[in-house]
Amino acid sequence: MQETLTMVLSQAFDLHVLLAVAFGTFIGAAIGALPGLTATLGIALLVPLTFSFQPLVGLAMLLGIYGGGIYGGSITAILIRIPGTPASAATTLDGYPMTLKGRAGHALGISATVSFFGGIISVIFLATMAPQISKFTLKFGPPELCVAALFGLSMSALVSGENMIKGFVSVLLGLILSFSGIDPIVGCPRFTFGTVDLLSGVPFIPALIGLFAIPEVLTNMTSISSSPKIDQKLDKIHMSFKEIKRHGWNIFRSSIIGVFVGAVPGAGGDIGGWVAYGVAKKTSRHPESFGQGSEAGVVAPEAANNASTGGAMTTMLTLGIPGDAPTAVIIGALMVYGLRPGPMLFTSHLDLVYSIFVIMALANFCLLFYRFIGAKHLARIISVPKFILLPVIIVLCVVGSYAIQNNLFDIRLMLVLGLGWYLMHLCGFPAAPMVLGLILGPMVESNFRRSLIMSEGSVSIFFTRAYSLVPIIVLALVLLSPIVIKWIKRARKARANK
Amino acid sequence: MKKTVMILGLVLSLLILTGIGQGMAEDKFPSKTVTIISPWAPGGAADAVSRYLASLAGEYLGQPVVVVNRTGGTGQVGHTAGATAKPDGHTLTMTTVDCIILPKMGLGKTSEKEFRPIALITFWGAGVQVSADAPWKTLDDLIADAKANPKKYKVATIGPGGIWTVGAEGLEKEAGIKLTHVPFNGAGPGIVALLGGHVDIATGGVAEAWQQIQAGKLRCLGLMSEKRSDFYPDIPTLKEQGHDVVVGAWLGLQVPKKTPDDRVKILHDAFKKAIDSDAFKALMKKQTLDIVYMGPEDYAKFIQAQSDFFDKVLQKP
Repeated sequence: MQETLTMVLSQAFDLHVLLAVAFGTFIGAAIGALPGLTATLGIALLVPLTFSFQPLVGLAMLLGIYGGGIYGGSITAILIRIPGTPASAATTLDGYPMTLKGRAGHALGISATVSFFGGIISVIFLATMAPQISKFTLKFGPPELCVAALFGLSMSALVSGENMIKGFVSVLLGLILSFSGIDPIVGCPRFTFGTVDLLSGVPFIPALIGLFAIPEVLTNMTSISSSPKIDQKLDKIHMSFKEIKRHGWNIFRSSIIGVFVGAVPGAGGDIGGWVAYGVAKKTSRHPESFGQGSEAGVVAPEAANNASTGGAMTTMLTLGIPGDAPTAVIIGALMVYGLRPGPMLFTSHLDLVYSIFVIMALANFCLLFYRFIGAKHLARIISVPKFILLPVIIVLCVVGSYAIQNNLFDIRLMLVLGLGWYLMHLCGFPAAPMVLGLILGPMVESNFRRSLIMSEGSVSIFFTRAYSLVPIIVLALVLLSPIVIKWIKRARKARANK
Repeated sequence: MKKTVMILGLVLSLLILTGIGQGMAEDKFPSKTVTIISPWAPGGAADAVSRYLASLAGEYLGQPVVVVNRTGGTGQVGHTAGATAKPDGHTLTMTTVDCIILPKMGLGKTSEKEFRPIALITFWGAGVQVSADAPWKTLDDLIADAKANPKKYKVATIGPGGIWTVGAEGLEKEAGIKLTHVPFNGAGPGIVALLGGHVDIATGGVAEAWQQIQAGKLRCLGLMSEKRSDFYPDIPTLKEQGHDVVVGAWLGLQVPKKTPDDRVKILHDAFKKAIDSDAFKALMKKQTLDIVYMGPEDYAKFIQAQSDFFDKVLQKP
């Protein structure tokens, strides 16, 4: 044990490894901030570059990108209401209103600090409870995965937008959009309108960009002459200890949510952020402040989406299955280094596994450092006059949509979806649940159908298994609680009037 | 005034963008990142081998090679994406035998005819995997139990028409049993479902399950091959146990049919170097996969032979 510790420390604190982490987190944050580029893509492109390095150095860089990417997405989510990655979608709800109130710097600071805690907590979980977490993950068969995805979708519908119904309409629209492509179980094309471009389904990055960015740009364009320049208060960036204590429970709870949701294969920061936000809002004493620039509304998703990296890594290392998209690419990298993720990894390469934990912790420290330096400068971006900022954003959107598949169709798709959604946006329909519906649609559908195959057509399978029944009950309670509370209030009033 | 400046700025930026786009000439191949599409999920052999080759071939191609997973529909999602990609040689597909089988069963549109072979890489066999806590110690135990309880036991397959599914069906027919098929996006997810107890059996490639078998979490009751494998000398074949079921899958790189000859040659030479490298040999050995290489002409002949074989096999009632 002693020698393992010394080996781990000497390996992890090697100069090359440290440089790789520093570089990786920086690149990751930059990539995450650009709409259209995600951590997954960044990792995928840099993996071949790392093969000339030693395994741990290469891994350090990739893990840095992974953590950095999640943060980078939050930067744009807060500043311009366009999440750089799906995991940061929930941050737009309160992050952007804070910017509008001139508190962008503070929002970025909160995001930085809280993400740091989320990341560290998840690494601690990973290091101490990996076997237990993997047992938990294995319990997720098709029925549980379907319900987990539905739970995340419902959470996003509940908390975004003016009311629940509009949120659910958005979710359903997203799900419908996700049906286009090839049937996941049978393999026949459907809703492709004969074009080759839709054979793989509606690509979600152009959709994400279009649904968030276009309405935002159009809204700003129409009010450009009238909207005053918002002065950003750049003095208050760091979170004071008192603040950290005030949000302490939120941070811890959201991190736990993030770790466990991240551990579920297929679910990652995207679901985790929403669930954490939903829980925070429902358990808060001031739920009406959510969506108006409440600090707690930034704390919850930010802690959760970083914590989900630890959860996803746990599943990846212990079971060899990707907890989310970036870990799928990291599995590939590990295999090429000759390390097969799975139970054997812990017995044959324990020192490496622990080095990975240390590196992940280091990545979080790096990010914290960068963010504090960068927050002030980043907040100044908002001070750039709108008529310069908006064209730049549009150009980035167009480039971002093209970047993934080098397909002009994607740009057209982005514009069509964006323009169409602008109308919905004006009517108060939230975009985030729709994007989540598009992303999670395949997970919901294929697992639903698998479950029915397993149960020979009976829907009861969802209700007879503990891990799927519990989320269903919780969801029912959450959905029905406003109605129940109304009844109770009405009954009380009726009794009082008698 | 501000609006005018903004619109002008917008138009200008877009013009600049289009200008930049036109400038890129494609005279050197490959001129950008090369993609290998894996029609199967991570955890399986197709995905693993794709990633190994991607990492090694980049050096010989002069461009990074990335793997993209497009799973579902017993591989049709990925095979279709690969077949309909631009035939400029920048997109390869790690094809598997299922793309031959599915169209013959009317379960998919993309067949081997949409592709041009580059190289065959490996061939590996199916096994009957069960959880280590399962009550069956031998294959005959399982068969007896399944005979007494038709449809009770769930087997993880890779979808209707998939090669590992054909293996499960072969076992069912041979032994006279009925199992419930639960389709997943590859052997990898099936193994995880087996570990989690959501299915009782998995009839995928043994190579994918080997790590779990070594760790004592899973057991292999038999191999669906002609004779015992050197990698696992203690696992009996189904043939030895009295059940004539032989099912094997292969992996090969292919490109869209219309890809020009010169690019096919460049790709083949680069990947052949990767396949011949010591690093690849070591990786495959660790995965308990044999390297079985065939160049474009031999691979094409092999594919034709496979197509004829399945025509015959699928005729049987």
